[in-house]
Amino acid sequence: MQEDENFSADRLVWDDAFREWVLAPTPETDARWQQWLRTHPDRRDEVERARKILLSITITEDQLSDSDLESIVQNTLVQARKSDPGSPRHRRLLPVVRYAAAVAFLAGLGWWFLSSGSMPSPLLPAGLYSETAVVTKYNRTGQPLEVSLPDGSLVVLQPSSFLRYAPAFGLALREVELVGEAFFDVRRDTARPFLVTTGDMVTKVLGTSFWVRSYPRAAEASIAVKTGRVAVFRRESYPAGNTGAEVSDSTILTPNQQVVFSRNAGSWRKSLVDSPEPIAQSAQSTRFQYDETPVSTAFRDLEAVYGIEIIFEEKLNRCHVTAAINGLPMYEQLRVLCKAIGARYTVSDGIIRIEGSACN
Amino acid sequence: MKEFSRYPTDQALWLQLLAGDIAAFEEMMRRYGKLLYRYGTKFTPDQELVKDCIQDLFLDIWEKRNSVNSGIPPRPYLLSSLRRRVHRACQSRPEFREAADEYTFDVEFSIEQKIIQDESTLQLTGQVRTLLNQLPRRQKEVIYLKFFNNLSRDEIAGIMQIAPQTVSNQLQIALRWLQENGKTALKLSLLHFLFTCYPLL
Repeated sequence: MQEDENFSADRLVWDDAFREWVLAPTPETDARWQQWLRTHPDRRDEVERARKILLSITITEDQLSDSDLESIVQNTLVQARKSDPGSPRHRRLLPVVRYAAAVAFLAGLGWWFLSSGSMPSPLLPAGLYSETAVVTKYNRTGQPLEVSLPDGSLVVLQPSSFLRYAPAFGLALREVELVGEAFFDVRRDTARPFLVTTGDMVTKVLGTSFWVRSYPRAAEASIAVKTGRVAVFRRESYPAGNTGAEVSDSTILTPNQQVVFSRNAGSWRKSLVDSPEPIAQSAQSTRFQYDETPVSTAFRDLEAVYGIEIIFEEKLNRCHVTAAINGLPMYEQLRVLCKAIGARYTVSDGIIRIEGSACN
Repeated sequence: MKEFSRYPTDQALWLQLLAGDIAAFEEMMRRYGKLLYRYGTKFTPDQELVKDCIQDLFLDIWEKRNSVNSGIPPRPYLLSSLRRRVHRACQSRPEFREAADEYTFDVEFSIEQKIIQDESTLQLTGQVRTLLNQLPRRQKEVIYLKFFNNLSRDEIAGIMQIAPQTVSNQLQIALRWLQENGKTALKLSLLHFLFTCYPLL
């Protein structure tokens, strides 16, 4: 960018380097601007203002409807074939074009899905800008696809899933939209929350890893947390672009918790994932071997290793266990412990509750 | 949703089309139909005329594919051809004849308000929009093609049938005008938006 007497948003909006960064960034330009912003924190507001102006100025235009486009295409094809008797009538599509058509169809499906519902997408407005401002990753392979985001976060995109994002990200928010299923490992940045928007839900994190599953035609969608904390909002109650406000229609998930959204009932249920996994940092140091040990110690171990809250009555404190439960799945560990003290466990709302009678 | 269907590239598709692949021809129409319509309707309120022009344009390309210069990328080629075609069609219609010389470029800049939360940015954006809408038609067209369709200076020159240097001049005049008027208005009402500054990068 050139040396400039007046550094103001309305000039920045027309600056080529700035526009390139906002509308079609590369990791290099993004890194350069972020670096510049770090050394010029007083310019941050103005740059963000310019970014918003740039993204918000659109054109009200006559749009050709899909049906009108279709009739233009069909009319032209009929006449083209008439004028061109030499060309074979039902020529086989070149594979690459066939593929393009499939992508276009799936994209239409995804787009329809993303744009249905009353809430506008918190991403960029559709229109001319979106052609350059939004990156779409579609995993057409049969294998999970790793996608690196400009902020250093990693997304493992499952087959037949779409990820859309404006690669510059905001200065206040990092936003992506997902159709399908993906694992997110989000680089921690407390100043810029990371938002995943899916059909029904918005997931907001600062830095953590979690699964999102939201296929358009599936009866259920879910979000499951591996590490860290995740806030999930119903899409209709999540204010677009709002970074701070607390919303009542939301839930917080901690490791090994998930929320399952039932599309038909429109309701959601918080629970534990099917196979809770140890949280990395606490897993190695716990031996899970007990010799006449108070059962409360064993429960606290489980709590620490899986990051799941376990509630039990005080009277169980007098129970002791002798057992070696290392290497077992969590539910098996719970079963062994409960059996040893004649108690039982229930799981609801992502919390484990132990019920039993006092030991002598 | 155009960004979803970028495979194969426009250029590859264009070459397939010119080589006589009718499936590529069809895909090309689907990719560019809406863009061409948006551009075409800037010159005339007659939507049917624009649709006819798009259809004729594609048919013409198909029939003359052997003589089309494949070195020109499809985007500027199509926009340029449509522009000529719409102008010609307008001139041949008596009801538009008086407007034909004074070609219009009817574009309305607006604001996507969802993106902006704070009042002062909204005000500033509104002002940029007002100034944009006051630009002369030729400058509007340059801005439309450059900033809203990502076309290069040379491509714009080809589309508008003017010299590349003229494109640069028009753009400079427009931006200077936007900035000077923006500044005057800002000085009156929004002094705090002005910053003296350091070189950026």
